[in-house]
Formats: sequence, structure tokens, C-alpha cells
Amino acid sequence: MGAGAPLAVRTAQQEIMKIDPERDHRLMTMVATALQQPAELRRSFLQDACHDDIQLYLEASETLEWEERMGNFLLEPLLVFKDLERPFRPGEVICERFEIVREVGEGGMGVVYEAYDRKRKQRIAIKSAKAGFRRLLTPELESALQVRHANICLVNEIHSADTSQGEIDFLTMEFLDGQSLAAALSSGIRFSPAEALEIARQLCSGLAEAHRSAIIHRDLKSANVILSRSAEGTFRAVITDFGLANAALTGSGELAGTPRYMAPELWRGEPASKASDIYALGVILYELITGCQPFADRQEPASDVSGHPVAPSACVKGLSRRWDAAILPCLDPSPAARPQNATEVLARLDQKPLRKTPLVAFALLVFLVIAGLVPALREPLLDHLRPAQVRLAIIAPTASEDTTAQSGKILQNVSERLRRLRSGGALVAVSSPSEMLRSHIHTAEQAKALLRATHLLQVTLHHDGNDLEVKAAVIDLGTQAHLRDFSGRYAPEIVEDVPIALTGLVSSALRLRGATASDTISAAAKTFYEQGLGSLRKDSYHYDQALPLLAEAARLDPHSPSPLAGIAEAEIQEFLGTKQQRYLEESQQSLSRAEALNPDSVAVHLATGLLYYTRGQYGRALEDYQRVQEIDPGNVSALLRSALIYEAQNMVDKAIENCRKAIQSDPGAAMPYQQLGSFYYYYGKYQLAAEQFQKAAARNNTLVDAHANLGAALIALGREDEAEQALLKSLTLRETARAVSNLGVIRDQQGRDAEAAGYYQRAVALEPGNYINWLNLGDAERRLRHLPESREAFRKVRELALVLLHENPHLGQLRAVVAYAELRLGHGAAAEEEINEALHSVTGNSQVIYLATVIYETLGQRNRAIEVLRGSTLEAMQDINHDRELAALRQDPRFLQLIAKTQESGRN
Amino acid sequence: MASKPADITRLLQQWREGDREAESHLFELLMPELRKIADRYFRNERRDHTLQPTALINEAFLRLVRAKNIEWNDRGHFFAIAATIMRRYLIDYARARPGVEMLPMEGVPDRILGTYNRLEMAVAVDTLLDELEQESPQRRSIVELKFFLGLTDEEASQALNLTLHTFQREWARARRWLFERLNRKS
Repeated sequence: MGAGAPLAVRTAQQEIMKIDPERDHRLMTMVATALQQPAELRRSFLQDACHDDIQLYLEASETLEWEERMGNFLLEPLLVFKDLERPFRPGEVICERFEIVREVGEGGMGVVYEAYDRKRKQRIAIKSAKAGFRRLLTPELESALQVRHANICLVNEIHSADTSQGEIDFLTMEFLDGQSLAAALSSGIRFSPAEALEIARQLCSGLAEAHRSAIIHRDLKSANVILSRSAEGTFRAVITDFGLANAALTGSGELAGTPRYMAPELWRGEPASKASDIYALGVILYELITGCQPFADRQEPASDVSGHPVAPSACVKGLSRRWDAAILPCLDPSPAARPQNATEVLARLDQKPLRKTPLVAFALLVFLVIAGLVPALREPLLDHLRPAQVRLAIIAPTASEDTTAQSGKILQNVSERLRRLRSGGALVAVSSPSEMLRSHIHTAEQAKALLRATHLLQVTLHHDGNDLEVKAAVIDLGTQAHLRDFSGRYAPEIVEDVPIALTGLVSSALRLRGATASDTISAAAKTFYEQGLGSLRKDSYHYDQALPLLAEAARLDPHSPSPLAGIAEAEIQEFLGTKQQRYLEESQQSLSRAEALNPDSVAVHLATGLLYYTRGQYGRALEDYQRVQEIDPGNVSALLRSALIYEAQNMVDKAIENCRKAIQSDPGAAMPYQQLGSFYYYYGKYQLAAEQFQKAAARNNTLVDAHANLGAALIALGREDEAEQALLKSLTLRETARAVSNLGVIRDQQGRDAEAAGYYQRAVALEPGNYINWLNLGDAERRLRHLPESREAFRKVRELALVLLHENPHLGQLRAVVAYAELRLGHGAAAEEEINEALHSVTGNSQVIYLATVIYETLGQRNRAIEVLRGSTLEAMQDINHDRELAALRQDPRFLQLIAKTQESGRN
Repeated sequence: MASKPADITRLLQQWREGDREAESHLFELLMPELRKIADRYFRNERRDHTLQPTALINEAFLRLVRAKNIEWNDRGHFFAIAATIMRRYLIDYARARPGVEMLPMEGVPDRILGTYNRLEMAVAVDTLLDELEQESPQRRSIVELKFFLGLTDEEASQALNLTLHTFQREWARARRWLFERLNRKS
């Protein structure tokens, strides 16, 4: 439990309870008081308060620490009914006209609802008073009804309704789909000066209009500014709650405004005026452009209330001085010194810097700026509104009798789970099936028209014997596109997982953040799962060990998708090991079962990505890995697997960057180094590769492949003795074909063909599904003049490489292998065709370059061999240098020139 | 609530000794207390709700009566047992109605939030209560009165004959104990 561990040890001793009411009183009062202080002052407060009693201090600070850690844990009772003071409820129809859809906000004195006006047939907002704030009507409010301006929230009418709590006044007004400026700022959004200017323009324009109608806002603040979009889809900033502030007066003479927006004269008890509204506007603009408060947050008239704030241009680097010129006068302590109206504030903001330019050019410049600026400016502003754009409707399916109740329950559960998601960027408004029914919404069209739903979760349930079949889709109502389809079959014991799965479907389709059901697994299953996963992730040899462990985990916890996803991965490895197609099909089946439990689980995305990758569907694989990164940032497996895809698409830099990120995310892990080393190796950077493999081995000395790969890199560097040692070390851990084969390569290079062939034969026996073993064997047998054996081996090479290519046509280096096999099988033309294709699809791969060189040289096309080598690196030349059969090529003066040139550029 | 502790204790004692009349008196006395608890939950339930407060109390009392060979030590003991019954009832209640309004938990550490929703947490807490009782029967009652029944600190401290601050200290300890266990699990 992280930082808390040391504290936990002491609880047992404290169970001996000393009853000392006096002491408990001191203790708990002190802790409660400390908790009200800012966090950094709490310790010193306790020290001061218990200066005479060290025991008390220790106990108090321990209690405090625990309270801080626990937060609200258990403080809210199991069942809370939140509508204690709610005048209306969703589903209710008031005045036989307004259908309450949902609650959208709550203020100190009122509750705001989204509603549907049956008469006007439009979505509206209803603002009602809470108990104790029943009298909303003020003369000013009446006049506010008359103001019509795009940047002022339209108040339509005032109504009264009879409720169980008595008569309640409420206002109907236009529904603004968006978020408040206060919410935007506190969620960390910082507006660019151009964006801020657009917002400021609209606010000034709205406030000026109200003031022209002699309406004073009285409680202007960023929480009363809603960033929304107009019916035409353009950005719109709207001031709400005009004239409502008076209604909030409790009659006890309390101040009505919000402290940090209150002008100094209001502190002194003077009445609100246009000038005090201008002051509040200044505070809003200050917050808008700087993201900070002009004055420290004050709760009462401080002595500096008449002071001047830091200029905005001093807070924001490079900010135009016109912001200072517009804002600072608004904040002047003297009302008379402030701008007379909001139009004046706007004029100062719009002030263009003077420039001496020819008139024509200036006009042109203005024209260009406007033409270029406006669309570019408005779009990002609309981006900030995206949170409110996802409105998901869940419609109860029309199902057969026996599933109706069940589906209702399931979907209700899904909507509650979705509401609990902390969805980061995308805030989702969910309309649950019961809300939809209460609002008489039965179809997607109705949901779209009445709720402005943007997305629909469509579900059908069907009983098949004891099993429940679920089909679902998340549909974009704008385009009618299915963002994601889903189907699952549920035996009775896992029916309870349907809501989790559907929640996962929605969260993955809409890419919501915030843990859905995170990948939980029961304690009993966990041991087996972790062991299974351990052998699975260690290397590609242990799938046979992993499978029974994962199967046991799946049996012990039938609700967790993780073991099933693990099984799917093991089956993919089994396919790669055996090249038997049926394992891919089995993997797909395991994956479907895992998805049925939770399609948005990290384990499921990882396995899905691996399956797509194996089939060469890189784009889809990347989508899954990116989703993992969203759910679990820094996930090493997702980073490394994305790296493989980038590498396969020749984006080596990106592949290496991903490996580096993985190293950063988990510096103790061996795999990132192992994979980074492999990339370097394939691109001929053998020295760098060797270093990475050494690091991998240092982090996990039992990593068979790290030693074997190190051996390979050292061979390429010509350090045969060290290479042999690394390979032998690898063999003591496990006899792998890779290490045996690489030992063969060493013998090969020493000219000991018979010994080499022996190693290759062993490698082939160990791993008959790997074409490289067969390729090495074929060459060794060829040199030994065992031609039938050699041809047999190369036929095998071609066969295996073609199976892989069939699965994944992107693997260009495999074409080079097929080409080489064709060459050795005596099919020169086929070889030429294949190698051309390979060179076309892959660049810079040392293996392809090497094979191409050998093929052209063998076919007697020296010129082309040299041509291929021109694109090669110094390191890739090593392969050529080590190949005994390329001795003639190495004598070619052009080759010598190339070597000299690459050595020179290598030194630079 | 503090009005008739002596009566309840006496009645409980008589009831324990087999006095049938005491049983019905006890019922009359307990009724307002239990109704108060039940009201807290169901006052604002919609009209069409299947569960009436009276039904809840009837059932709670029936369970209470069936368990009458329990030794009633004092009024606090009674509350503890009534709370246990209510807790079980509420857990069942919430489980049976996935639609019952449960607010998302706010201000609870991510570690716990990521693992449990409110009902799941209640079930997890529920399963730990027997173990908690081994350590402190009183803390078990405190958790039941506070978290499951939603009593205020004042009400709960009176029910358990503790001063407010001693109660608060014990409540903090009980939460901490549960917090550690739940954290270990998640």
C-alpha cells in the first residue's frame, strides 16, 4: 500500500482501548480543526496545539495522516437518496407540459434540469428554487425576460408548480449544451489569446446589451458563463442568471455576490451597479487570459482590496499589452474610474497596434488575417466543448417476455457503471433506459431529436437453452456508423458479467478514460494466472507450460477476461511455433470468450492486438495497443508490441522511441532492452545491439534469448570467442534452436562445415517451424555437397516462409528469404523476381541487403550486387565480409571503394 | 431515542425470561426507533416502490424475535443486534435492486475506487465485520450504525453510550482497520 506501509504495523498494539473522554475530545477536535487547514499547515498546527504533550501529538498526527489517506472512505452511508431537497424528479411532468429529463446542475439556491417542452416541442432548461429559496421573482427578473441577445441566456417564462413540498416557482429557459467557463478553467483548459479574445468579445457584447436595457447582473462570474454552440454550430459564450442574484438574498443582510468577483464598494455595503458588473467582467477576463485570480482568493474585505493586481501581460509571456489596457481599468477600486460600459472594454481589447504600412498592403493584411483567423480560431474553441458532445442513449430493447425484465436490469446497471466512469476528456451524458421510458422515448430517432443524443447503445438479448446471447452495438447517430459491434454468449454462471461487458463495449467504442472494470482476478486464480503469464511473456518457448496454468486460472475465476486473453496469446505463440493454422482459430475463439467478459480489458486489447499483428492487420493492432495506453499509460507490453509494428512498417525511429518509453516506464524490465537490441540487430547496428542484449541479461539473467541474441550480435561483430560463451550460457538455461544454430554459424565461419551442419540439424530438430534453421542447414549441406539434403532444406525454407507471408504479407524480409530459397533450388528467375520485390518493400534491412547481394552475385549480376550495397551501412557490410562465398565480390575494386567510403562515413 | 432505555432493557430481560407480553411491549417500543432508521432510507422513495418501511421493520423485528435466545446485555447491545439485522437487510435490498440509486463515491482514494463500487464495497465491508468483531465488538456496531444505517455521529454515540469524541475516535479506528484490509485486497 505504498507510503502507508509503516503505519499499518502499529494498529495491533493500539487495540487496547483506553477510555479517556477528555483526551478523545482534545484529540478529535484537533484533528477536525487541522483537516480544515490547508494541507501544508496541518502539521505545524498540530505541533502548536500539542506542544505540551508529545504522545498526543503523535496520536493526532497519525490520525490526521490516516484521515488524509482515507478521504471520504465509508463516510457516506451505503444508501443515499440525493433528492432530499429536490423539487422535481426525472420522468416527472410538471404543469402538464414540461417533462423533466435529468438534473444537469445545482447551485446554492436552485437546481437546473434538462427538460422537454411538449408545447413548444423543444429541449429547454428549467431552473427551480430549492426549499428555502422559493421566491425567485424580482422586478429585475421580469425585465430580464425582455432581453434578447445571442450572448445572454434566454429566459422564456416564469411558472409555478404544485409539488409535495408546496408551490415552487421555476424558470424555463433555453437549454445550453456546454460547460461553464469556470469548469473549463478548473479542468485545466488554457485558452490561446485568440480564443480568449473571441470569448471576451461575446461576453462584452452580451453585458453591454443588458446594461443598455438597464439590467444589472449582480453575480457575474465565470461559473455564470456557459461555453456552448449555436444552432448553426458556431461557438457561443453565454451569460446566464441575469437578475437572479437578488433572489438569493436570504434577508439576513448577507452579501449576495461571490467574493472574488465583488467590487470593493460592494464590500462596503454599497448597492450593485453597472460599474460593479464591469469589475466582475474584469475579473473574468483576467482569469480567462491568465488562468489565475487577479487577487488572492478573498473571503472578506481585506486591507488590499483597493490594491492593483499584477498586469496580465506580466503573467503570460508575450501577451499583448491591450489585455492590460482592457482589464486593469475594470479592476480599479474606484467605480467612477472604470470603463463606462462593456463596449468600451471591448474597444480597448480590439485596439490594433499602430503600424506604418502602405494602405493597400495593410488592407490586404487585414483581409488575410480575418480570412485565415476566423475558422482556425473558432474550431479549437469548439473543441473545448467536446465534453458535452457525447450523449449516449440506452434504449431498452424490445425483447421477448422472458428477457424484458432481465434486459431492463442489465441496462440500468450499465448506465450506472458508465456514470461512474471518470471519463477524462470525454464527459458522457447517459440517458438510462428507465429515464427514456419515462420520457416516452422508444426509438433512436426520438432520442436524437428530443435528447440530442449523439450515440446509441443498442442491445438485443436472446435465450438459447440455458445460455443468454447478447448482441450489441454502439452507433454514432450522426453518421449511423457502428463504432463497435459486440456479441457474446453467456452461460448462467457468467450472466452477471453482461453489464461489465456492455460498459466495456461503450468505453472502448467511445474511448472513455477512467478505469472501467479494471482487470481484476480472484486471489485463487491469480497465482495460476501470474505464473502462466510469466512463462508466456518470458520468451516464445513456454506456451505449452503456460496453457494449463492459464486454463486453471480461467476455471477458478470464470468472470475474469485475463486468463482467457492469456490463453489466446499462448495459442498465437503455438501457431508461430508450429505454423499450424488451427491454433489461430482456437486463439480467436478464446479471445471471443474473453471479450464477452470485458471487451475493454487491458489483457483483451493486448491479445487482440497480437492476433491482428500476427495476421498483418497492423492498423487494427495499433488501435488496440493505443487503447491500452489510454487505459494503462506506460504499459510496457503495449509499447513494445506497437514498436514491432512500427518496425515492420519501416518506422524504425518510432519503434526505438517506443522501446525507450518502455524502458522509462519500467527500468528494471529486461524485455524492452531485449527488443531494442533486436531492432538494432536487424538494422546492422551490432555493437548497439550487443549492449542492449547485455543490459537485458543483466536485468534477467535467466532470459534465454538475451544470451542467445547477444551471441548472435557478437558473431556479427566478429567476436567469436565471446559469442560462443554467451551462446553456451544460453544453452545452460535452455537448449534453444536459436543458440544451437548460432553456434553452428560460428563453426560455419571457422570453415568447419561438418560441425556446423551437426548444430543446424539439432536446431531443426528442436524447432522445425523456423525457416532460419532450415536455411542454415541447407547452406551447410550445400557446402558439404549433400545436394539432396540441401534441396530438401530449402524446400522447407520456402514452404515455411510462404506460410508466414500468407498470414502477413507485409513482412518484406520474408520475400528475400523466399528469393534465396528459390536461388538455391535453382529457380533463378523466381529468385530475381522475389528479391526485387523485397528490396522494394523494405529498406535498410541488413538481412535483405545481404541476401540480395548473394543472389545477384550468384546469378552473375555483379553490377546489381554492388548497386544494392551502395545503400548499405558499415555494419551490414560485416555480413558480406564474413561470407566465404563472396570472396570474388570482395576483390571487386568498386566493393573496396564502397568499404572505404562506408568506413569513412561510419567514422564521421 | 434516549427516552426509554431502561424500559427496553427491562423488557428485553423479561422477554428473555419468556414473558410473552413483554415481547409485544418491546415491539411497540422498538417500532419508532426502527421506523426512524427505515424512514431515513425510504422517506424519499418513489410511491411505486415495492418495499414499504413497515415491511422492513416487521421483517427486522421478526428476525429479532426469532433470535431471542441471544443474551441482551443492555440497550447498546440491542442496537448492535438490530443494526446487524438491518445491515443484512440493506445489503440484500441493494443487491436485489441494481437500479436503487447509489451515488458515485467521491473523495475516496483511487485504489479503492478502482476496485469497488458502493455496493461492492458494502459487501466487502460486510464480509470483514466478523473479523472486526474479534478485535472489537463495539467497532463492529459502529460501522453498522454509521455506514450501513447512516446514523449521525450524535445518534450513534448515544446509541452506544459513548461520548461524541470517543465515538468519533473509535469510528476513525474502525474505518482505518477496514481501509487497510480493503487496500490489501485490492
